[in-house]
Amino acid sequence: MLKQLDQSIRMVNHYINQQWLTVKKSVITSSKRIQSLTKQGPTLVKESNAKKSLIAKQTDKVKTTLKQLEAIEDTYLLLDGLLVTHEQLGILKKQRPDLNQVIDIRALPAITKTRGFMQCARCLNTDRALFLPFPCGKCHKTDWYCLNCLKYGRLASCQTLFHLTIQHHQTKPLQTGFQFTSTLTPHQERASDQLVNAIQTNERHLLIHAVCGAGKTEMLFRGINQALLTGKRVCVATPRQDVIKELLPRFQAVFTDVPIICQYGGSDDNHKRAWLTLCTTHQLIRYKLAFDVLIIDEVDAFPYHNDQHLIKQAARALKDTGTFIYLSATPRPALVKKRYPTCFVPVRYHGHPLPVPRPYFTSFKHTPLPKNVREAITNERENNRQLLIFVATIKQAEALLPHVQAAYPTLTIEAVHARSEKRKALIDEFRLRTIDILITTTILERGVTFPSVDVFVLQADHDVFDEAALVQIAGRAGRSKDDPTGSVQFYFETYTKAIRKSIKSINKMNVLGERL
Amino acid sequence: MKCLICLTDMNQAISWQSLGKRQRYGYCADCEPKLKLITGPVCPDCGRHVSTGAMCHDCKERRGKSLSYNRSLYHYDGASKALLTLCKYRYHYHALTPLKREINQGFLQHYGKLKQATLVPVPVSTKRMEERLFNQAALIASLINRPALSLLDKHHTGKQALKTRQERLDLANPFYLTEGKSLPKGPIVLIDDVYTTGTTIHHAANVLKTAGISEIYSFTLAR
Repeated sequence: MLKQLDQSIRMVNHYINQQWLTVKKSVITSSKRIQSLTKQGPTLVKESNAKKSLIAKQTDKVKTTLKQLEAIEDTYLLLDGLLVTHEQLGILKKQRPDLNQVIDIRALPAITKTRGFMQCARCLNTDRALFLPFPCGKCHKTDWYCLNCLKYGRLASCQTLFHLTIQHHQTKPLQTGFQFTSTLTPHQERASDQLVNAIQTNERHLLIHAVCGAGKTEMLFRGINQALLTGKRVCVATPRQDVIKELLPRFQAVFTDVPIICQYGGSDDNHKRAWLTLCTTHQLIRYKLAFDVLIIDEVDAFPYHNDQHLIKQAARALKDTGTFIYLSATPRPALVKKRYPTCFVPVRYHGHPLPVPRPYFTSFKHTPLPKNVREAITNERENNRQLLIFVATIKQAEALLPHVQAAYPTLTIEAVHARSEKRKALIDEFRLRTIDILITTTILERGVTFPSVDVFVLQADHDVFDEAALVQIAGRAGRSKDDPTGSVQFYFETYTKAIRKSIKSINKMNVLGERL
Repeated sequence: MKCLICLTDMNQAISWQSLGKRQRYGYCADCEPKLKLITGPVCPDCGRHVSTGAMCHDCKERRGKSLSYNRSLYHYDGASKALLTLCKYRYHYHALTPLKREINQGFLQHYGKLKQATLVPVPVSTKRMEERLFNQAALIASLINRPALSLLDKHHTGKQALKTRQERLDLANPFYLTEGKSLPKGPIVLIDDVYTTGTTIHHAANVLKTAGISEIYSFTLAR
């Protein structure tokens, strides 16, 4: 019964869709006729100028309506692949009353139950412990709601989720205004070519494994440009907010004609849609079969690497013919094991080796700032670099700050972590060199670039600092061409496997890089 | 045990006492809302904390009282506001359920001697019910071990929280008795989530009073 209803609704939708297309066609043909008339106009009707002007007016009208149609069509096309709740659909319908005629709206039950197993249609969560029952006041039954995606608005099992799709549309090339002048190194060139090739041939997966500071973002631009030129929809996603905020101005400088939106928790762009989307991986929850190219930067970062929901949501956001591109400096074994086509870049863009971390045994029992760390900081102050101190937890960062401030009263020292309110302002200040020493948690471990810094890691034996995190942290030093070296020092009480492996892998990369 | 706010798993010490209990959800140490109980002298009418224990200014001005008195459990401050927002506007039904014991104890402390009391949750309008799918007052009533009865219905008005004090006080009575329900014999305790100006609860009490109920009290989570 339901199936029949659904089918009939789809039939009606299809019929309306076709009608709209025919109307559009007729407008186009009429405009063409008028244009031909205007061309023949002078020979046919010389004497009546009034008629001519009338025709001109009409052509203008048709042209403007065509332009409007195109603009409307563009906004319609961007609705493709969006998942919306009932309330959001209501808002969309208010904005455009003829929504049903152009767009196929498919209703999905919000929570599906099969043999006692439940799945949330939005966040794809199947963990039974995250579904909570409550007595529904509307349908007077026990309903369930999903705790996992509560922050995006509650979905109860008696509600529906709507998937907006456009069945048949022609791809439209986009004006990108591509301005990318800096030259690539041969290694970057090779990776860039492979990327363009993968996008052109609709390859499903591509892993780009490049060391920290190899210039991963620069490798992307050509591929993205190629995709946009052929009318593909591109999304660049990463697990970290700070990374996406840093990427935005760089993309805006290269793609000058493309409207770019940047979505993260609490940004203003969350209700907009564009051909080029930058977002955190959490924001991919809004899409289903929406993108042709999905680039995931820093795949191995928390929380994406071990959150199955996020991985499933990312796979859902991509079209069946789309291309997945993973970028990482330290891919996890699980990703390497899948043996996707890989492009490996073991050298930094300036060609200098990666700074190798120096390990030091230190006791943190009595003070958060031991004597040898203090001496090292004093030594490093001489070479005029800024200092990043990584600690494991927010509490530790807050505890350490007064000690460092007391030891160096002449310097400006700040602490930044996920809960600090001035997070973005502090990072910007550090970039402008007004802050000398910045104490940070792992939020700055990856994706951010400071021109010339030294890096210290205190209590590097903490669980937070796994191999990938330590390699990434070491990769913060010596990123600029003018100052390609920097000192990286790990302080710890026990020499953990992660520390040993990270130093080993950095050495290995340097050896591979030299051989090339 | 899972934290209802940050969804992290909490380790629970297993002991002989914990074997019978099956508590699956709670608040972790970081998310635990820092609610403040109302203690000490209160206004005899509205239950607000008053250091002298005399009647407060608002209650002196009120005319035609049909409510005997109101008592509340927590101060309406940042923590309780955040918790109620999570429940009412983010639609998190189970945000309040870990407070079951405290709410029950608070109720018994104020209304323990009313053995025959019936709880009447303040209703929400049909439109709000369609959005929220539950009534937060009925949720609080369900946490108290007394029989609850929904006697009232409500016409749709805008959100109370978006109105100024004067607008709220001038509002016409939006409540009416549900048809076809017999009135209980004993006293009635109205249940609501928060008492700010008291307009809502007094409106509801007026309706019940005209229906012929003599003893009407009220209990709210925050004041």
